[in-house]
Amino acid sequence: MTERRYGMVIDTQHCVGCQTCTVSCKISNEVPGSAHWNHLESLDGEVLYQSTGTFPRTTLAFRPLLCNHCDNPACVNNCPSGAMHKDLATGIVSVNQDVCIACGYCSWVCPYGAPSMNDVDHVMSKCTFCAERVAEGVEPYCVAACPANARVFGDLNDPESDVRKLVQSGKAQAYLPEMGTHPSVYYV
Amino acid sequence: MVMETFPLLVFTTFAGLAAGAYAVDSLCGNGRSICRTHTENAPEAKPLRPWLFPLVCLVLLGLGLCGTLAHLGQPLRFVNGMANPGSMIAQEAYWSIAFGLVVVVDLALASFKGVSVRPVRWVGGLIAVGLMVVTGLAYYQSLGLPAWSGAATVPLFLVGDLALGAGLCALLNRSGLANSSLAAASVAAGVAFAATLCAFGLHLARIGVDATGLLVASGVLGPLVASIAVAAVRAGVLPARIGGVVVCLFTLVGVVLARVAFFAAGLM
Repeated sequence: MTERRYGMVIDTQHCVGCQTCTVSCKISNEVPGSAHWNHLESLDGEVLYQSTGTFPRTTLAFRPLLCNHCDNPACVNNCPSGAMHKDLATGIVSVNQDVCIACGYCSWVCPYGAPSMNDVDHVMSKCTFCAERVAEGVEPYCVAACPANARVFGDLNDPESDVRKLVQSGKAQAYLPEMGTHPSVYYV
Repeated sequence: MVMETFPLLVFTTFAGLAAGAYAVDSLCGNGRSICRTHTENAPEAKPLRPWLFPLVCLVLLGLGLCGTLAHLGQPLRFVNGMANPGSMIAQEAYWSIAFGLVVVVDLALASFKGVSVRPVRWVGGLIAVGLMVVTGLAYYQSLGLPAWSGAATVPLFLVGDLALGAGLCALLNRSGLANSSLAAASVAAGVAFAATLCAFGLHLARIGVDATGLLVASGVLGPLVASIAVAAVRAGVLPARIGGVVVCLFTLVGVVLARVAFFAAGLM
């Protein structure tokens, strides 16, 4: 068990699908090429931005996806080079790009498709939960940029944190828990 | 995305041919009896080219491994890919190296002694089976790609490689299909491969992916045509030498089509 376990709760009832998180992450973290650390999918349909259901009972909802910084991360377990690793002090999963062989296997074994190939430098890249900002006590870019305040970030091991309370209340649920990776990102 | 997996198609096909051939040969024993010379003065003559089978397998394995290098974004760091024994990719590397070493030993013995040593083939066959299984497991563990994480994935690679191996044994042994055990192995691998194609197709249908056209083409061109060719050889309609070429060629086409369908379905 890590000392801290940073996690996030995303309220899909507040998310408006504007992708400010996607753009903010891409620009602020200078994610190169076609790589992306945040992306969006339809919450209950196949096509993004296409409503589901029958009028007048239609819904248009979104599930923002990012690295779930799992407790039992499939990417770390299956990375042949050991480039994928989990920081025991924070629970953040990162990739050592100096070691990565860019086989892409982590993106296949991740149930959330989170690792994204940096096609400029030909190494894997992924969400870091903005570890440098978090170390300074500042929330990640995607959380700070969200106009709907749909994202809550904090330490899941801290009983006083908002994320912990949301998870303990049962309002926030893990996505694809059956995959057994014990994610640290939850959805309302 | 299909081009992204092309090197993996190269690896699984070429290394699969070599591994499958060793596994089939360890059971049927055809690889060691390549082109026996039968003369009045030497009724128990040694095989004419005992080095051919391990040499072909070594070249195929080498080509396959070169394919994996083309898949890596950082090919010069390939040694790093063996750092985590828990990863099936690293396991593939371990088993490939072990298999390659056995093939080199087999080749050296065949070259210097003039005969293949049977226990070496058995060891090679066992390691080859291990390589085929970990190859399938590497894809099976892709939680993010539902088309690959089904129960049919490991058999698709294991049985496909065995079918390829039977075809290669038939090609390398001019009278191979006259050997009832190789003919039976070839048909059995074909039938098992056809069953695996059906299972894989059902799995794809369950998750809403359609690759029926490629899978049917694979089943017809691979197991069906190859089995008909084996039957024709056994019935004396087709010369064994031509039959070996037909079985190898069509099995190769069938298995490659199935793997194209597999990779395309995973990345749809």
